[in-house]
Amino acid sequence: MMDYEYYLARLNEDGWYYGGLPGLQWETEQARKQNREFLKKIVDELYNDERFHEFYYACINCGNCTSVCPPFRFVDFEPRIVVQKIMHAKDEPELLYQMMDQYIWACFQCYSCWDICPAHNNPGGLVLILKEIAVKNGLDSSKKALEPYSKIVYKIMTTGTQITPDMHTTIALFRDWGPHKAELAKNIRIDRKAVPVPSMNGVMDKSWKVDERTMKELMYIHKEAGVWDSIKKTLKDVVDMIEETAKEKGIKNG
Amino acid sequence: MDNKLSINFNDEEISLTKEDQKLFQKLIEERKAKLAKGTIEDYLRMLEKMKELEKKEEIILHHVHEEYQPRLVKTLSGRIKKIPTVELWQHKSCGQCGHIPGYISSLYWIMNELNIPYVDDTNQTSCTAWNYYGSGTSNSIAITAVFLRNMHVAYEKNAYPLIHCGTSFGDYKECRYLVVMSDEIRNKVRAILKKIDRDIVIPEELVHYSEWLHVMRYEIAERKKFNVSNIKVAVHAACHTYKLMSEDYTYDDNILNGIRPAPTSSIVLALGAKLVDYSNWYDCCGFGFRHILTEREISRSFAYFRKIKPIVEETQADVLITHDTGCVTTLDKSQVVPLAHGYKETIPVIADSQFAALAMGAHPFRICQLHWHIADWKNLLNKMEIDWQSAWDDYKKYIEELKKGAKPFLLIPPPRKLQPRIRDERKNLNGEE
Repeated sequence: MMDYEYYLARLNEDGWYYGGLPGLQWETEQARKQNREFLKKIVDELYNDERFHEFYYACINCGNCTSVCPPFRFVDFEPRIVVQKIMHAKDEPELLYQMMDQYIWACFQCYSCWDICPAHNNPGGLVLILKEIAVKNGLDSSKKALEPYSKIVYKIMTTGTQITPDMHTTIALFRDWGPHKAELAKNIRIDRKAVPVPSMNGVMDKSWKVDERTMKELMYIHKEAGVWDSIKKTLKDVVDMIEETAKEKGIKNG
Repeated sequence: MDNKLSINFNDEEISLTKEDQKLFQKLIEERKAKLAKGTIEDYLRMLEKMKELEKKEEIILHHVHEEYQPRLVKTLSGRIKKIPTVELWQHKSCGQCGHIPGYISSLYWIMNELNIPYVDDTNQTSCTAWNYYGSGTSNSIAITAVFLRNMHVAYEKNAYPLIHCGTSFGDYKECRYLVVMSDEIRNKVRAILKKIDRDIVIPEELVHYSEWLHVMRYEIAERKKFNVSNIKVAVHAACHTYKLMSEDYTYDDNILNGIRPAPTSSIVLALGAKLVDYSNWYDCCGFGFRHILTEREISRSFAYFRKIKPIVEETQADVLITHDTGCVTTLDKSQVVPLAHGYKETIPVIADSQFAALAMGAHPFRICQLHWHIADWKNLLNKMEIDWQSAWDDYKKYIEELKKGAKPFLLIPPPRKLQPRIRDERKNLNGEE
């Protein structure tokens, strides 16, 4: 039997531990706060996901994935670490938790790692499953990561489209586009009327005209697939809004 | 530039000549191509199982039949893939339609010029993979059901899906793999689809629009109106087209030695432009889904310092061309802040469809919608000898007419030859007619 306290004690203040995630003090503290059963539940959710065995074989620690990983060049993130932690997660679930509480959100999901891995692992795919588990369990990191992102989640789940022209009508979003942004915002309604694609012409609140029935089918799919329920712990307000919109269209949750 | 790459490792200087660097890179790329041939077995098994499921009538396969006038290409794995060329169901991209509309209007315009019928549907959602990959706010059942809903609509319309977005293309390859290989996912998704009165329809081939441009490149080049032989073009291939299920994207022995993706480079070559190479070709654009919206510093830094700056320094290219929504957005919009900080390197970024349409004589603003792009495209158009100033004056006049209530000009697709399979008399979600 493994001595849990012993392992937890080894998560020192610098966050160094097996495999090494230096500087992750916040994540270490978060891992310390959790009880063992919760940590094991998270590992079980990962291992029982139907995609897991398509995405994970065994890591040979070659580091090819890290060598091509875009975030690795600019922030503290390594796909090799992700697969290594997952490989040891059954015995040491606190390590998995330490990593999934914030660390994984740096992933670009570009899949360069999957493309290059000689052992056919899919680190980006594994991160994707971990993000879903983090959101489902309402981890603090997922709340922090997704808070500024909630409008996108709402748009996609209710209209099936995301970046919409009306998002450009204020200066707040994309302000680093410089003077072009202000010019774009000023003329956007008339410029949209000049887009010659019939399904897009003049449309401001979606990327293109989406039929009412199409939006209803989409919401129905998300409801039936359990997406609304699975994100409640992280994005409760967004789910409330989605359910309200769905209700107006005649779709009820539960 | 120095002809040598030197690094200091443990006080020992290691240097590689430029030729050795190229050889090294070539060997790595060749190894990758061989490696994919090793992993193709799983993919071929999936394609076999797809046919078995069709025989058992568990799924409907949407075949690339002769009426779609398919052309054949080779994929990385060596498998021959059928690319439909007519009667296409345009699977639009939520990003490009939102703020880089010239991408899609150029593609439609090219199809109109070639008299190719297609469907511009309003019964389409995006793949919703933005939530799946970006934020962990979807799941395998939902994402697969969304994929199959769209595919069923295309099947009903008797038009073959042509996927505009690199992410949708990659996501759909992943979804197809999951729904075919996992009984559990298939059964769960079937139950959901049944409730919205739809079946599991899986396309025999998943096709990205850049593959369509690839097979149509000679017809497009024949209609070229502007000489682009003095235009230096750098190409960025989108990660999700060729890294996400890498087995199923087009490669061609005659394009980049058959060890890098052929589409987009191939249309550049067919049009007669100069294709230039750069060292960071494999790097992503820096998009990162959530990052481009809420952690823009990292997206911007990556896009500028790993792509834009090296591309300009190494190649002095006139334009950077790509084939995905996220890539165009990230590479184009991320140049503003570095330039404000005093960096000098800048390059226009447009889609392959826009470049091809410009070469064919499309209006730079009414059709190619270049005014939505930030990085300065004027030098490019000057070099192509396109009178952009007159075109801009014309566009402004058109805008004034629209303001006065004139009817907008719309790209109407040529008449279709195929009739929809099923009339749209579907039940609503409460089971009523």
